Amino acid sequence: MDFELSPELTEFGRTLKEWGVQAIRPYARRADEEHSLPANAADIVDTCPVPLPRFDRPGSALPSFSDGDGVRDLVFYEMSSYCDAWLSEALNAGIGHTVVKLLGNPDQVKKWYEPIATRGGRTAFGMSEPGAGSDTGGITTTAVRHGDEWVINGAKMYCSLGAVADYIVVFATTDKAAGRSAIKAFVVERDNPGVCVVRANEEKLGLRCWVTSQMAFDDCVVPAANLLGSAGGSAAAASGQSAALNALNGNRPNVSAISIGFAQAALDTTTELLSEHRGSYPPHRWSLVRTQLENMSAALDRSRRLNYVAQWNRTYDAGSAQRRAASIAKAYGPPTSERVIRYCMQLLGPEGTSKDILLEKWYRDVKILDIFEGTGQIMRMLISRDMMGRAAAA
Amino acid sequence: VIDLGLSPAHERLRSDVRAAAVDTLRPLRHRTDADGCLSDAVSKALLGIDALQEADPGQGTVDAAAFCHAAESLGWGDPSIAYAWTTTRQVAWLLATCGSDEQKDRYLSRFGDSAITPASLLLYEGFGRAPAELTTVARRDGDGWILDGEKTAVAFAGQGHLSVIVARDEEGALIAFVLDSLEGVAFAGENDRRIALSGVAIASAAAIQGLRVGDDAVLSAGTTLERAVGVCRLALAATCLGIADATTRYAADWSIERIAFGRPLAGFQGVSFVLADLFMEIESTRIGLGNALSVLSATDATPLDAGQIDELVSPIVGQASHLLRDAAREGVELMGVHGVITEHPAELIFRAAPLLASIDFDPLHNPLVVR
Repeated sequence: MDFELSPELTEFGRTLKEWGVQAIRPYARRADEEHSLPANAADIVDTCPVPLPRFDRPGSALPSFSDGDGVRDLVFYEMSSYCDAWLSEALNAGIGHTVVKLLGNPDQVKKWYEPIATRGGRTAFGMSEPGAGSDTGGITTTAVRHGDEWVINGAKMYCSLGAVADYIVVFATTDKAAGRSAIKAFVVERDNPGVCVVRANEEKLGLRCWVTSQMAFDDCVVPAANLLGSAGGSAAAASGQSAALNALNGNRPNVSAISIGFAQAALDTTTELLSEHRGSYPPHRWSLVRTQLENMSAALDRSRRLNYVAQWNRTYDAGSAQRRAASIAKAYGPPTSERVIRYCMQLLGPEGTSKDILLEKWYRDVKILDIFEGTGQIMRMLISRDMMGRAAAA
Repeated sequence: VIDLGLSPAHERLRSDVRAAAVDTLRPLRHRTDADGCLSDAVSKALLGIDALQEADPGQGTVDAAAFCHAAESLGWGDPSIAYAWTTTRQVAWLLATCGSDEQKDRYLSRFGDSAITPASLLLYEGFGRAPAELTTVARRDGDGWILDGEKTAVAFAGQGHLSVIVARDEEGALIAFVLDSLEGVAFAGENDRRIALSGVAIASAAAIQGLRVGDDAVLSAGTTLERAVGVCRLALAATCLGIADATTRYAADWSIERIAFGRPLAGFQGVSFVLADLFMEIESTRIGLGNALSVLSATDATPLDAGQIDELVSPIVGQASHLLRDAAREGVELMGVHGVITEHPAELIFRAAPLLASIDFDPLHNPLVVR
């Protein structure tokens, strides 16, 4: 095994990080407090010396490297969150259109995926509900067929980009008695009658500038053709739910990488501040503190290696090894990062909890990464079932 | 003779304060968090808890167990209010147990003015130092004393109606002083906005340089003071314990009501065993706290020196701190995305946990735990 990145990707990451600390991080506090991106976000991002994938710049993309797109994505996500979480949101096109690409028939892909890919735009993903989170089979939003139309009723929460997206991919059940197989995905334009933004951005612990919306669908009528995969779609569309969950699977190591970016930023800040107070520690405690700093750094390296393996497997093995590795990476990285940040705050004492520095923000930002796109419990269930069969982890 | 039960009075204290904390203080959390101060409504609500007044060292009650039961039970309400009450009562405890009659008359009466009389305790120094290792020094200077040192985690910094500074004298013995004001002490960070506990004005640092105080400010020293400081540290641990218990219970109740995959979340071992581990740790911490309080309160038993008191108290403080961090984390985690939105108390407790757990933090007793 060789975990050494190519010089080109290393340089890409270093450049992104150095630029972001200067250009992005100064706006971090305001973005957190105002629950929104800086007004001049696009102008700031314009100054980035390396190419970025931007929803508002059609054709923009991350460069390719010999390390592969998966590993490149890990570097990108870690470095962008090291700068601050708002950078990701400023670039974020959402994942609704990728679900369209995955589930849609050729006409649907042409209508809803290609314009986003070529002209830019943002799309939302509406799966979580007030009463259904990890158990997506418990979705209660309904879609009832009336002639050539579907009528959608229900509520979604934590709908990424819901309030600002061009359209939302809404998951709804077409037959409550039929279970998971009846959960289908529908494209719903945001300005469609019956779509209501209950709360544009939820009041939440962290990642406050990331738009997550509460949405209501009240007799929302969409054409029959808005059911993804309705005619000539992929086999995966037979179960919209499982296909969507598989799409999430590929992103799980990236979520872990985001958490590592926060934790590394916290560790670097803490190391710098503690070294100023070195003389205040009794020698035996300073020795311990230094060891703890090293242990935290080693823990983050372990998380990184798990992510690399997951993305490597994604590239070269699409089977169960990839699913397991992605689940392990997601189960390991975010909670480890959270513990690192929390411990850094304790080492610094009350100074570490002041809003004059960003540790407390990173501590708040990192928590949700252990929850969305699969909670720690769900990841453990997936790992257990992969290793021991479906009888495991009841 | 072994006696592991609580007295009926203590049982009633716990249950009454806890119920009031949940019913009347918890709903105030949003306002306290947003206002950045403790409103009159908070004081009124606290004064309405009769059982709390009976355990209050600010009212002259000297019952270490009752003090800590009250601190723990208040943890079921709002972390900011609970910490505010506990830290001001740490000052009251030192006065009630170590003050002369004259000092008690002069200072304890101030705790009757309001349920949250701003009072500052200058005890903690950070860097993991336990009381036996404090470096703030008090030197004799004629008929008074000169104090030098640096403290951290000073609540109500610059607002205190009274303050107690804990230091060591030139022989290394613990010594404490009660003061009307802290003119001459330079605070840092008291106006900082923090992740939580926004109503308490916590200073990151308090520089004491050449502060002259009179002999009449000295509290009783010796083992009485060392034990009293130990109780103060345990009271903060009790607050952490109560908050941890509250968020664990909230998550447990959620796990009973929340249905996923066809049954309550509590029906899954991945959920119920996490909660069971927390309940086990809560019980262990509470027992350890009770034991330490019992030893500290047994003044007729074998004398304890400062090092022995630290060895008794510091592990419990560390355990409570670790428990709070874990409970705060799992309290959010087990509720999924509901845990991170502000409608539920888990979000606020998650924010309060690292601050409370950093006040009396020692890496020796709180090692890093990562895989």
